[in-house]
Amino acid sequence: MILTRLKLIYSRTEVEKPILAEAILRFNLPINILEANVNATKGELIVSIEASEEKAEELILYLLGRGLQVERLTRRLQVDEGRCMNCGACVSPCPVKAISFRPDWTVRFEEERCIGCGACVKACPVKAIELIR
Amino acid sequence: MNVQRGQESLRTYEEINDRIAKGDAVVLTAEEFIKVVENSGLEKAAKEVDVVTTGTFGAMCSSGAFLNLGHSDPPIKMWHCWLNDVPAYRGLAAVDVYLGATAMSESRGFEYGGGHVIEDLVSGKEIEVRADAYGTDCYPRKYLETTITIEDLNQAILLNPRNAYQRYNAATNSTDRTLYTYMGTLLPNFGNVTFSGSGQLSPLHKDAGFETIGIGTRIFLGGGKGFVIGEGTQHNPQNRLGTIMVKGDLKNMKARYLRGASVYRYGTTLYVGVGIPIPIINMKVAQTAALKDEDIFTEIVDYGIPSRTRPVVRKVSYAELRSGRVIIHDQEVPSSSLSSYQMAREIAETLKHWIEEGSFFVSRPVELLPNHMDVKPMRMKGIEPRVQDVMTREVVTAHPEETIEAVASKLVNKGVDHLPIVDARGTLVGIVTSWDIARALALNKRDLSEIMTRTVITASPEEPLDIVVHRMANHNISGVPVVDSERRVIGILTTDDISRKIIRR
Repeated sequence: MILTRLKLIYSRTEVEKPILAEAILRFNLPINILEANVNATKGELIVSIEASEEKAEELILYLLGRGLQVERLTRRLQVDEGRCMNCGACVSPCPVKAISFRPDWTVRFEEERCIGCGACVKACPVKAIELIR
Repeated sequence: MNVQRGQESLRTYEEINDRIAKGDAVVLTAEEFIKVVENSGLEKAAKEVDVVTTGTFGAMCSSGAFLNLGHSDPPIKMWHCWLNDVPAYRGLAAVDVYLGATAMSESRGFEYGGGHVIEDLVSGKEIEVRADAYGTDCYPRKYLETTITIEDLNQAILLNPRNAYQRYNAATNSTDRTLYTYMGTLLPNFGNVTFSGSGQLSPLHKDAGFETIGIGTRIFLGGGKGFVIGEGTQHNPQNRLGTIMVKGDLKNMKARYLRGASVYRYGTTLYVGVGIPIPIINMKVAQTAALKDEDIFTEIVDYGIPSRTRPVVRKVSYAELRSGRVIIHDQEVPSSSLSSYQMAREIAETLKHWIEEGSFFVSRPVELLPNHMDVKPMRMKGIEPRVQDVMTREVVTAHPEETIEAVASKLVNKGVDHLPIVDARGTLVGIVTSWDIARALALNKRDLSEIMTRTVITASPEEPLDIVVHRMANHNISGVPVVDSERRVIGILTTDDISRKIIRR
């Protein structure tokens, strides 16, 4: 069990939907709201969950699927470029398109777009990617 | 029809090798050759260019190494043998083993396997060897523990039964959960597409007619020189699914081109770098050597269906796959490779450099590889029923514009519970059940489009019945439309159909 903090951004169309409540029911997971800033057009929540890495990742993917913007607050990527063989196995599984190919077919990581979901870590066949807490 | 393959009508192997020896050979990578053909035409390019180099760098599970460990004193006839805790195959003479790329460590499992041991050997790292034996008069030793490096081995031969697949299926996933496959992470609901193979750099595509590649073809293998020793297992050249069996001396290879890999929830494998020089001996070779990603096609296959005959979602070119976006059911889906195009390019460049500097010569094969060969499925005991054996073929369907009343009377008159909703072409767009109609009545809904389910769980006719029964149970549903590869409804399978089948048994 680890503690994960997430920033959830609701747009005008999502703000009236009970997305978080549905997530709680679906995953049977207590979600602690640390900060909330919601008005009629936009919402920003900071929440924390205590769950296994697997479950946290499932939750993030679910929230993204419901149209929220999700940022993971404490973790970032570390890529070992010596190990990376530029295969691209991490590129299309990335839910926020933070990983792409450069024109010379080397792989490019855009840290600032990363939400720390860990999909690339699992996808990498040579363990060249790490998430740092 | 029976035109002899391998005719040296443009130049002979000897002529090419003479030019290589003098430093005059014209050698281009496949990417460069494509450009020359575009600029000056195929005929002129074929006249000017002696050799086209190719490359591929991807996961090749059918790989491994024969190792001879030398004799211990007192000697042992190894009964079991582990290298860094990865079991090696031991049904050979006393100290010969074969280490397969997908064998996994008994202590570290998916983390470390035969592919990693091969990479570590080539890197010069120390490897722990453990062996046991039953002991004989001639081989009395019963247990052994030591450490070795590649230098201590008499032979370390990479011998891969199936490498360098000409092309491979691209993969996607129609189910509602993430799948972790040997084709990598496949996101739910057609969330992404993964593919493998270097397309316009792919060695076996650049000689798709097998005019030059055969037993004895000298190649780039794992950063050293190796040879094609025959067709690979499951070689299926007439469907552009050719493969090769290769061997080479591990002691001359480089770890950069042999990488142990762990595919999440699948297992371990070995990324192998292979490059083949294609001598432009005739116009047929020139033609295939000039094939571009736009001309090379493969199929996107649904890995959500756990069957040997996974349904084909659509045909696709390597150009579209490599663009990063493919269209599936009118939606843009991100696509990415599992094999490294950057490394494939590096291999083609390296091979070109070797030939230019006169350290690598082309070789006329002793025998060409077969250009026609069928792949048979495994023979199974008994017959497993398939969806098409049980499904109802006369399907009652409705169109999205129909009223709820019309649909309700269809359900009653035809005595069915499931009504697939199709568009004008017969393509599935939704489903309505009698339960949905009841709900519509209760909630006072008027429009069919408001009550129909749009994400429909389906089956394909070739699928084993067992698997579809599990799918229906998982989703808690009592019927699935049966669709063809273009999602046209060709039947329906309900729990009633299945129970009738069981009663008939």
